[in-house]
Amino acid sequence: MSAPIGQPRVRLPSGVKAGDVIEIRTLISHPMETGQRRDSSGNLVPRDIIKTFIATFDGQEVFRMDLHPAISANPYIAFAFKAEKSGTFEFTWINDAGTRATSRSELRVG
Amino acid sequence: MFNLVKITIREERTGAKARLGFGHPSMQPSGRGFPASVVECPQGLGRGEHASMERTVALSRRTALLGTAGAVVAITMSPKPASASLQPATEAAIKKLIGDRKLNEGRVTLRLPPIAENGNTIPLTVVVESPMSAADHVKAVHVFADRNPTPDVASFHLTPAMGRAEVSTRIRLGQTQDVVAVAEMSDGSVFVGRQEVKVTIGGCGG
Repeated sequence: MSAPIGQPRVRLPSGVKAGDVIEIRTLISHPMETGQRRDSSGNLVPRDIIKTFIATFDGQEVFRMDLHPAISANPYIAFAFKAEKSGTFEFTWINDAGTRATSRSELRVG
Repeated sequence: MFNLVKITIREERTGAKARLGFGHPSMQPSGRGFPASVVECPQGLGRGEHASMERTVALSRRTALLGTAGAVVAITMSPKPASASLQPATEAAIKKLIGDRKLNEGRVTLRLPPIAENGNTIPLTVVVESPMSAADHVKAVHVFADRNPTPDVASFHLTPAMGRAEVSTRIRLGQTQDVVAVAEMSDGSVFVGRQEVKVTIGGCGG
């Protein structure tokens, strides 16, 4: 019954040089239902949130976030990353039901 | 004079109720017809809706009473420096994550708008001063909203690969309050920063 996890969107900067600290920005559509809201007939809407976000670079975890209901709908998550070499990012979002959405992005370091 | 006394008593009562607030069965919104704007609140900081609305009312009375309420609050909270006082729920949430370690001031900067028109989506950036080397880096940053129904907002787990201890997201705030960020360093020390946000249209349109 959990809401579908929408299409992830990830933005990596271009023209990155080795040693640059860049910002990785991610966005995913999701209602982030708090579990405290009531519908029009007064029933509690069950909690349904993205509760974990994991970012790996070439298989190595570089950043992870635990989300709570106080994170806005359509969670925006951005973090710094020190670019040393080209490689592959993998981003994973996991909801309360354990469903995952993943997205891969290539980082090119010139 | 009589009027003032009367208001003060009411103030104390609402204050007590608000503290009792979140999660207590007696504070569950009953079926007696909320205005649609509250029921439909997209943010749904819900369970404490009653409580937070009352608290907002109480706050504006506080302002009018020039600190009468301050005394009430001071009496009911455990004694500690005013600069460090947080809601008991927030203190418990912090303790759960970092234990009894000392909270040092500094090194943690929260970037938040001073005034947020919409409590549903408030941009937040946390920056921690750190070389982010293998030997000396920030391991985690925990963010709390002092007066949300549940204070936990997010925990960020950082690694030296990030190069800079900087993270951003968007958060929900039910009302005007302090946002607190607690940073755990690789040597086990803990630093804390906080920033107030005035929420004009509170989390629930109130």
